[in-house]
Amino acid sequence: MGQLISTAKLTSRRDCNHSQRSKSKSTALICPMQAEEAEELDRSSIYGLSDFISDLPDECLACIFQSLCPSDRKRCSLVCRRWLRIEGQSRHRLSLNAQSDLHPLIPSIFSRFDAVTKLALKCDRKSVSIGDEALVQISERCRNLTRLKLRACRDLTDAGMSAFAKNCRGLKKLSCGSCTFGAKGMNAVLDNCPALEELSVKRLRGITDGAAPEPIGPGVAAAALKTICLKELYNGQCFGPLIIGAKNLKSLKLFRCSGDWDKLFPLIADRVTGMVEIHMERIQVSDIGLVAISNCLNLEILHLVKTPECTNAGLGAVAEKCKLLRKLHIDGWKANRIGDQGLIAVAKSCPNLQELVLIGVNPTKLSLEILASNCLNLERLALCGSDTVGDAEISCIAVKCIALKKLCIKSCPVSDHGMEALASGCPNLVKVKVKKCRGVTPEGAHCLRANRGSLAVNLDTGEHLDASVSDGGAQDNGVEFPLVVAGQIGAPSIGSSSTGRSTSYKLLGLLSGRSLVACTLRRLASSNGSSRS
Amino acid sequence: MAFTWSKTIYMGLDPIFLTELSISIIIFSTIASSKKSRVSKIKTADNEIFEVEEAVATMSNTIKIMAGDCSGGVIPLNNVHSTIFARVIEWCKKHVDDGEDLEYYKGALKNCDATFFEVDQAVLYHLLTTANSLDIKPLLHQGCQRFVDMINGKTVEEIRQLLHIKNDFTNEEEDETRKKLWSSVVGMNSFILL
Repeated sequence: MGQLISTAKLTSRRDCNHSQRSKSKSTALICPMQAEEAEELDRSSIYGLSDFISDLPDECLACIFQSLCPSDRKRCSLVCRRWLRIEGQSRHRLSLNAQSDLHPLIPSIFSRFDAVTKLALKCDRKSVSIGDEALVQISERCRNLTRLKLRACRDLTDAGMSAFAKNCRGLKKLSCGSCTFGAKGMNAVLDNCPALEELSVKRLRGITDGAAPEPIGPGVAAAALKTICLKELYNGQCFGPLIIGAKNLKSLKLFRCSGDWDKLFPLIADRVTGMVEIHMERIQVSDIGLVAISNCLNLEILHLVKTPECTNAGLGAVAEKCKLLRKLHIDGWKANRIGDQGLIAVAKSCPNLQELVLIGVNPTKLSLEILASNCLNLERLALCGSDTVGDAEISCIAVKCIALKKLCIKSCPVSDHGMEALASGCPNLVKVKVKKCRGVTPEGAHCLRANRGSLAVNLDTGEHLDASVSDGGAQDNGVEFPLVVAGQIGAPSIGSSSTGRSTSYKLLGLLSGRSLVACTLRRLASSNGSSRS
Repeated sequence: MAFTWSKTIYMGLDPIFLTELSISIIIFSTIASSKKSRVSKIKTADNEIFEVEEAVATMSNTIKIMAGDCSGGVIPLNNVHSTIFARVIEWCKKHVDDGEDLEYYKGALKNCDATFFEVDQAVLYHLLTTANSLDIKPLLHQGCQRFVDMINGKTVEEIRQLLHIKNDFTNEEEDETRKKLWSSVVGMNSFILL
């Protein structure tokens, strides 16, 4: 019987040899063997040993490599020639330091990695970046690029971006930050990449050059675009034609872009009917803009961060018409333009509200009560930097927010009474965070933890400080404690990937920041005390 | 039948009605069960024929496509031996209702499927190759994960020994590759040159 399982490449002899070497279980699987034949093959050279993996199809090897961490992957590249080849071919994501000395290496990099679809080219402020020629060379070798991320590539110009766009027409996502090309380059991408779904632009210097800002968009990409994110653009409104032309746009995020956006929103709301998500942070927008936004009847997510011209009236207008609102974030910047009145309007019209984050806003029991009673799907609530959220408000939440799973309270005048109320309310609560609330003491925290065993409680009431100092036994000898910490940190960071290193640095920072200071102080105190006595 | 009749008379129910009802129930259930157990016939390389529930067999995209072409006949698998196929089908039976989410299968590898892959390399390779040729993605990914676990943290030489791979680099080639691989040419990124 010569019939065997694997590909045609394997010879039956070799297979039988392998089977004899493996356990008897697999021998039965592969083929029956004569004892003498087996012995003969046993004596064969080392290269006769099972080398199944060379017969594993390339796709299987690629699948294995793609699941390995970067350092394991590097080591696998060195195992043999075939592995080096396949490892290079199966690498789809590449992140390169895009300084000018990358340019001569481009041919060899991309002949090894010939299947890259997601590329990041990152330079730093101090160095000269790659230029147009390098970008064009890359684009010629990565014609199937779907994602490109550019950071601080200041030597790329409109011409380079234009040539790139013509070579990589399958681009789906472009993210550029701190680049200096301008409207021509951006338009070239929009005119050549009909599959572009996501566009993210931060600090594009080139669009501020010249007397009049050149309009950007719509281009062929407008129809495919689903997400547009603009940050820190002086002439952000030159993207107006693009935003208005993107009729399938779902998400629009504007951060610190100058100009009067009130004028643009009516046009946007009129043409972009499927808008689902709008983020506005520190842009010039008022109730006029909000009234326009209220015409986006499919709106589910709204972030109003530090937009003091937006008042209760505007929020009410949005709430009334956008009944599908699920997530609402408001940072009122303590300007008190948005408060109970606006929130009550939201409570009355938006029953699907799942997530509410209020920063620098002063809601009271009035609005929280109605929110709790009407928004029966409210699962996540965060109240930060409020002067009016106190124990009465927390009690109200505890009693009425039945669906609440996660609660975060920061810098609010809440005390231990509030914690007690919370301990006996909110039946579905899974996580609680209480930070910088001076009225909450370890006792309150303890009460909460004691009564709600399964609840994950995160409080920074000075309790952490006590716990770590006492655990380390630092009261006796302050010198020992830091050494113990260092020893523990040292071990995991050796040979680990970058993520491992960053968590151990974080841990070191956390412990060194709090506990070392605390135990040093204690040591000083105790030594002072002992020296006196 | 007489027994049933006497029982129904005793209960005061119309026996004829009940008989009709029971007959229609029997007919209905046979129809229902025959729909459930539509069988695919598959012939492996060593001429063994497997009868497998269609839902289980079509977890393999390859079989799904071939079934379309064969329309009711026997599906021939010329590259798969019966013993490996039996194992694969055993796995498919367990996971027929588990859907496509690869993250789930990653977790399952640690739990219910842990022992499935406690086999020696020969069988593991065959499972992986078969999963690839039959296009059963979740099984392929689980098999690959086994290799990932084996390779994790090992040095180059350890990997070669474990998987019995011959090093076909010359000394110079290996040194050069290693130097380029491990030197950070232009900074923090981990790209590799040759």
